[in-house]
Amino acid sequence: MTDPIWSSFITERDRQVFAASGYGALQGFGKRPALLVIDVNYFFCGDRPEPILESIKRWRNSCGEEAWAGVAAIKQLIDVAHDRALPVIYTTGIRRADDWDIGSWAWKNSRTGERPSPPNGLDGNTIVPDIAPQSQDIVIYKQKPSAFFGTPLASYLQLLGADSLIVTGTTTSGCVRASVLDAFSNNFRVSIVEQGCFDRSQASHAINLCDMHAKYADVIALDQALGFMRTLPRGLFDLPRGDSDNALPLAANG
Amino acid sequence: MTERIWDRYLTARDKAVFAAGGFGTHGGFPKRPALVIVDVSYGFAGDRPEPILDSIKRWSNSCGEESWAAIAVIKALAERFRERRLPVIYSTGQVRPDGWDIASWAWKNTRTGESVPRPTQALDPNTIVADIAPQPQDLVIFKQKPSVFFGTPLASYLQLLGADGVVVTGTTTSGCVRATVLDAFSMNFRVTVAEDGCFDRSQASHAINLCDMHAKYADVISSQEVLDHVQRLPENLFPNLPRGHVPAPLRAVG
Repeated sequence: MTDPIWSSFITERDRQVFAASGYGALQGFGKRPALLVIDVNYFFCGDRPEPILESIKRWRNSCGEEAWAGVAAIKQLIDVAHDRALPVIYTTGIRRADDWDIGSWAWKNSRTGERPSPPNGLDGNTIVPDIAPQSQDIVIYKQKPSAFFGTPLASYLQLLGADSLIVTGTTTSGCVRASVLDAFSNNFRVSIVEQGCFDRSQASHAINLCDMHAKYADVIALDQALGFMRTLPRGLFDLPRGDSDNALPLAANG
Repeated sequence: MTERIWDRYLTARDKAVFAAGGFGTHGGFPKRPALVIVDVSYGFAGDRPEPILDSIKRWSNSCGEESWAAIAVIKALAERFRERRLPVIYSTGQVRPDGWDIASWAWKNTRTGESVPRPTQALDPNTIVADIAPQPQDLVIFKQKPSVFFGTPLASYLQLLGADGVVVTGTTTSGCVRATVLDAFSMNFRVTVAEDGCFDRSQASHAINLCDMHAKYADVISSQEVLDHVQRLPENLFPNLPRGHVPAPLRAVG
């Protein structure tokens, strides 16, 4: 087995402690997984692949080139999930125009108030077009790191009968970690696809994968995830139909 | 700026990105803080100070000697909070004797079964260490997952008290401390982490999780700075603290 990405960041004592205390065992996949794609939008990717220190001049949350390598991996996972009719669930941010609901985000970052004004007028919360959600996919709008916090995600997973999540997106140390934690606390099995996750900080990326693999999730390779998803029968889930004809009558019921 | 514990784990690019991205500004100390002491139990501290690799032979979750250095710090903080009539809130774990509710904890650790109290043990791993045993007026939260908020009344207690923020201490930095800080952030509480009052079994995880929290969710400061802040707070901020004793006639009710 090749050394995990975090091996160059942890101490020798850490290695011994993790081994002796029993952490990092493999839990394996669930039987009914949903694919989760966290916050892969212009805010976190920038509008094109470029070195991170360039990209964050315009997009303060950008993760630079690694973001676009992650997007390519995520696209492969989405294509297989669609082929197997597995749920594909995206998250992205949402905020009032007057920023009142920014809350605690404003307290720790000197650039929080920035409204990026790229030449083409892109909305930072738009999921990048390479992996744009399709009509049968589910999009969760959130305000805080976890995809579960203040959102209907748990109720949707219950409705779908999902028992597990395959997690991708960004940032590894932020919204991915927060969502994995809540999935763990809700007793979902979690697999994290390493190539499908990215972060602005190299050390945070590596150590957060280490922490999650030790305690909350299996950190796996893209090929493992693709291979597993291909073994699943089609029709496991009663997915949204994705047609728009019902939108108006359903809305009128409220 | 003095060197931080996480500096030696970061890459040069990470340092440039954190600075350029605007992360890690000073969030500010709460006006009405509660002290939260996360999971400082025998399970995480061991029954006495000894090197971690010895301690985890008997206590699979132990953080070794660092635990006891932090316990001395936490003791001083708890005493000052009580003197100033500020809330002191503990958490510790709770599990059924048959282990049914261990659930996702059992999936990633080969020694999870050891966290169920055994009759042969003189000490219950979930007992808070005697040096900082909760006093009658303190609040104790029993929890099953990393965050002290998850599936507990903590948020409702903070609302009842009118607290606007929390000072977080305890263990592990990368586990239950981080999870609790994250949920406090998501609920728009001001969060301070007392660095020397936190401990972890992994040196790298301890450092990088402090880095992540300081970048995004909390002010990571020394316990001395916390004591200084507390000293400047007005008297009698929390007139509705628990009384800590129940008059005999009330006890019979309900």
